[in-house]
Amino acid sequence: MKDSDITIKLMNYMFMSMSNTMNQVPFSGQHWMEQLVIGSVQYFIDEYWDDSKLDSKKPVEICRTYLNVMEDVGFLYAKDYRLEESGDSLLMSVKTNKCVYRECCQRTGEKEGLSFKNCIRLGTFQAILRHVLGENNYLTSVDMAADGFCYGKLRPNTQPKEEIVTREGHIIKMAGHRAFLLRQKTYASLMASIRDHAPQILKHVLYDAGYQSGLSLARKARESYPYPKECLQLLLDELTNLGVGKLELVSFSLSCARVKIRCYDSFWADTANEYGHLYRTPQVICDMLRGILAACLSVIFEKEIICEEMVCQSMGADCCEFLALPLPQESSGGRKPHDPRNE
Amino acid sequence: MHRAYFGVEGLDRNLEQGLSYGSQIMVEGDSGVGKTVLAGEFIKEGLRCGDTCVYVACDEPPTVMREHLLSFKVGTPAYEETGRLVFIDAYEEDGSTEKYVLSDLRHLEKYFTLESEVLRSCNGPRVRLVVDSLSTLLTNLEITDVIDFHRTRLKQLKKTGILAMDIFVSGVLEPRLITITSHLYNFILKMSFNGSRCNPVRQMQIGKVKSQQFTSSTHAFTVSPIYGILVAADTGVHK
Repeated sequence: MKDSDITIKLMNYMFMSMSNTMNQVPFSGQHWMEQLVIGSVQYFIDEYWDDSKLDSKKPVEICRTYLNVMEDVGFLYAKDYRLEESGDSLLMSVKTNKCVYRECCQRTGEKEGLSFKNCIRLGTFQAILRHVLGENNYLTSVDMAADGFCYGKLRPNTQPKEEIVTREGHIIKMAGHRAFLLRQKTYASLMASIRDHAPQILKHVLYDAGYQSGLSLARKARESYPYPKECLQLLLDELTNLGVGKLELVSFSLSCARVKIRCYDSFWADTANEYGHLYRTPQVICDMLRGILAACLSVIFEKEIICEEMVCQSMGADCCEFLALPLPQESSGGRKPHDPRNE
Repeated sequence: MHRAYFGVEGLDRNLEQGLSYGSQIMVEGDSGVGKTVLAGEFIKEGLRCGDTCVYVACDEPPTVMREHLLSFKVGTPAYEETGRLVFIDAYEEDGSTEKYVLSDLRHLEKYFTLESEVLRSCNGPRVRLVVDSLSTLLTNLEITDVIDFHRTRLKQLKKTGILAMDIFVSGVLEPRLITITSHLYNFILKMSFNGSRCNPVRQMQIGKVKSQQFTSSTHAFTVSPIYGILVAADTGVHK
């Protein structure tokens, strides 16, 4: 199939449009984009796939066979793709200019500034693996590297993503647990009410609530993403998708367990600016996010991390900035902050 | 214009205009009544508001305040690393690992020089200073020397816009010295135990000295290991 083939262009336009639309779907857009890719591939599988052609049911062999089937119908050259096993993961590399989906990836990823990092090719592998192996789910990640290659990775995942929102009749669920949506105005009035009745507990309630929710989120992520930085990046992406603000990892030191994170358009800063400040003087107010980040980092580094909001958008800064460091080792007296390892 | 607060809800509610930077607070109280807890609240509030906070530890090593703040989930390492929280060790003359150490507790001039140096090195636009407790530095010194030191120091702090909290332990200094000194401060906060021996009640009076009279409001309070100082809401009695 020629690069200039209008069919390729139209297919890329279609995926770009889908990607654009899914980017506007709250919470689970990336998940639904994957499902759209997998669903469309399933039609191809139903028509052209034959299980008897498989020599083995190893994921790498399934994907190679799939590429060969695609070559047989004239869609691609299987030799353009390099596949190899790495533990229970599958690694793929392809020269970017050899991939038929490059226009979609480049334009949605770079030019249009969308947040999707889906690789459609990896999505097709997810589809065939699911078809052959059953309900196995694979997580994907891809890096469009400066050397002109795309490096993709598929790894097994048994946990639902925290952000996935589904509806069953009048019941909304998030990651399988019942949830409901709260308007910012309602949240602001709830906080104002706590402040009026028990002002001394407000910061503690927000921090502790954040810490507890961060713990469960981080533990799930840690099971699927054992590498600390990768796990943190996933958590920041998920928190961004949940609407807390756009989180950016500024610096990460594994050896010092020192992390700097920025949050643009923090929900809490925006709530203060929109519905009034909770405190007498301008001050940092994102205690809930501070708690979430402290819990996430404590799980990731497997030691107690304390996180401080150094500047806040509610005080006129461009963004909120958090600095996280380990609890000093000499600390022994007093009431220690919650230690996630004790649970 | 920025206004400051103690960070104690029941107390701040009574300060309609708050505290201005450049003013000085005298905290005088019984041992164990909660002066250092109040200092911790004052520092916590300052750090949240973007202030640079300097804590002079005279009665215990600085680590005690670090641990106190950590127990209230204040990550001191982050603030110390960025220069927003500075400790001066005026407790351990020898063997201290702190960056700033008062080498000789007997010389007020040395203290004044060190305090001025540290305050000059603070980068932020607003600075809070807590000396816990200043009375320890002033024991066994000539009353005239102490008053001269106070006048010079407080004038300097006012001029440089430092919001200062000086803590005095009741009974350490001569009552006459405390009376004279109290005239130099903008706010006076007296913390004491009242009630019976079996059932002591903590009480604080906040006010100012005007025309030789201490005009204050009185509030009962407790010290919570989770929330710090909790002022009873409706027990204010205006004298």
